[in-house]
Amino acid sequence: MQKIYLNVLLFFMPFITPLISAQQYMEFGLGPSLVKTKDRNLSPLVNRGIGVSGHFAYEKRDRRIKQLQLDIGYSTLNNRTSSPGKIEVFSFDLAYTMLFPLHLPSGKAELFVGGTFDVFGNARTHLHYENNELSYEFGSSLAVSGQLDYPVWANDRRLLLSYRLSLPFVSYLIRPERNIPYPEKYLEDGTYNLEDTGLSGAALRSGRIVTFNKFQVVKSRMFLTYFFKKNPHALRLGYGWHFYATEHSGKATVAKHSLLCSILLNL
Amino acid sequence: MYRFFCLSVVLVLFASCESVLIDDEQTTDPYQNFDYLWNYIDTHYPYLDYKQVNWEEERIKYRSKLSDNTTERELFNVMRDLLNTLKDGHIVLRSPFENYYYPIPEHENFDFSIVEEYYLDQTVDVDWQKEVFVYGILDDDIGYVYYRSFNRSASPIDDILKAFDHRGVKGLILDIRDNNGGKSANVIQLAGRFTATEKEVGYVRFKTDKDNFSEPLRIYVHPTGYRWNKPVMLLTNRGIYSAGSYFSEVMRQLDGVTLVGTVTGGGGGMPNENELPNGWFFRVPVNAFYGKEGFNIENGVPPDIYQEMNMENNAEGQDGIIERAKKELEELVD
Repeated sequence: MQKIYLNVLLFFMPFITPLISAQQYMEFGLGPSLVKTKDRNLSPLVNRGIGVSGHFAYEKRDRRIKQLQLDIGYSTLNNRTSSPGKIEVFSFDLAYTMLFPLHLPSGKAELFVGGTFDVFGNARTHLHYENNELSYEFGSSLAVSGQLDYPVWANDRRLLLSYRLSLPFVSYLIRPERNIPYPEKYLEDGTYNLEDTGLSGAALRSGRIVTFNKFQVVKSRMFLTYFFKKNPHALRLGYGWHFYATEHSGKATVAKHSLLCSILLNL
Repeated sequence: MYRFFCLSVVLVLFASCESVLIDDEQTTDPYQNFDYLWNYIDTHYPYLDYKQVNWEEERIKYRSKLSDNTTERELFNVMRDLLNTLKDGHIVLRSPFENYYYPIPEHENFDFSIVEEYYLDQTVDVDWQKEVFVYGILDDDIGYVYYRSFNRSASPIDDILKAFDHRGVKGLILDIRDNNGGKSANVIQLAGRFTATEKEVGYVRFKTDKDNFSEPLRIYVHPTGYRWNKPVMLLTNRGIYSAGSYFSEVMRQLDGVTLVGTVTGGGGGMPNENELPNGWFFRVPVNAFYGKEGFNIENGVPPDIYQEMNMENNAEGQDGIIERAKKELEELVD
């Protein structure tokens, strides 16, 4: 548990430091998403479907970019067979990103590199199952991140075209073990708790440290930001692609495409 | 700007090429579907050795009945015959046109209409029912409770046991005949009413791959809810399955509990669900429960006192198993 508390503390440290003069935005976004998943704990079939994604962020720009963002999603999926099952997917990703500028010779584009720490969860429930209806990945990651900004002008309007890529290189991953919803540590102490009590604590302690070769994650987002002329706020249109795959405790792959329309309120 | 645009297009295309990364195994090919089911059982089903099934031989025997032109119905029939070799009531196969279940015996040595008409009707408070429990006080001050499914919470029994104690009943007949299972959590919680101390009652082992099992994971019963400390007769028959058999095995290890009736139907594995590459649903046990001294309950839990119902007595409104339980209780109390 001490490790978890330390992680939480580190997560919020940047906000404890005094604010300096900078552009600060609150971003609220919403949009449709397309989710594909295959989890051999549930099925050998790819399940796909549409859903909705929400995106909330606090972003501060001076020379650096600091962002705390929360992405949430819900989708219903099915496979394309004659007897399709139905899977509900719930996901969240709370991430803190800090990016530092790198000088580019072209002078127009701006490149930022840095890192992201996130806490994530993706839970899937198969609505036709009784005993192993739940499968999930929960955990946290440390990632290398980068962002490329390219300012463009259209009809005297200022726009900013950006692409952000985040590649987690080490993660603490929690997956159900032995095809049942219980996590590994829950079973390792030599007892089998049939009453399903105390699961959450056991789940938090039951993850494994995995590196990129065991848990491949790609998070990318392309977005176009339009700054209003008459007020300090902005609009943002974005496309995100989030993909991950793991073979830890059964092979699972999840891909999510999302379109987001956001409003950025200048603070 | 042009280069940035090109880069963006490439990245979007890259993202949309994930079909390469997520391989869909969907197919109607009869061989691939048969193999998926056979392999799943080979690597997950815990009773192949216990049931002395030569799984490789069954594969050869039934796979040879397939061809590239096998229809869906023919494939279903081949799979049904393959699954029948396991004689396991937990195993299910569902297609859009037919479902397969291995039959669990029902109504052997049990007729609830006799209980309702001739036993519960004799009580002062007729036809008591509290959620899934049906109960009453029989003549000779013996409490009777019927619990029909472990899918329903065991908690309502607390009020029943309190009422029985308040009325001064001498003992309890707990009837779970034809209870074909439900949630294992309810097994532990109901059994917790009948023990004063925490007790190890068995263990579970998962099949982890073709030839290996997990270490035993111990199961404990601990005092839960209203504590019943008078004698208990647990009535059993062949229609008791899965969680019902767990419960019978757990209860026969507790002090003051006697099993009366016939051998339960067994069903000692916890089934998991999955799908075939053609989308059909199937369910197969992936672990096995072992009780006292490693007793395997898959083929049933034996009673302490063997007693069948006598059909001639049925016609006279007598349930032979209840009568035997009453007699045993009277002897214990006296």
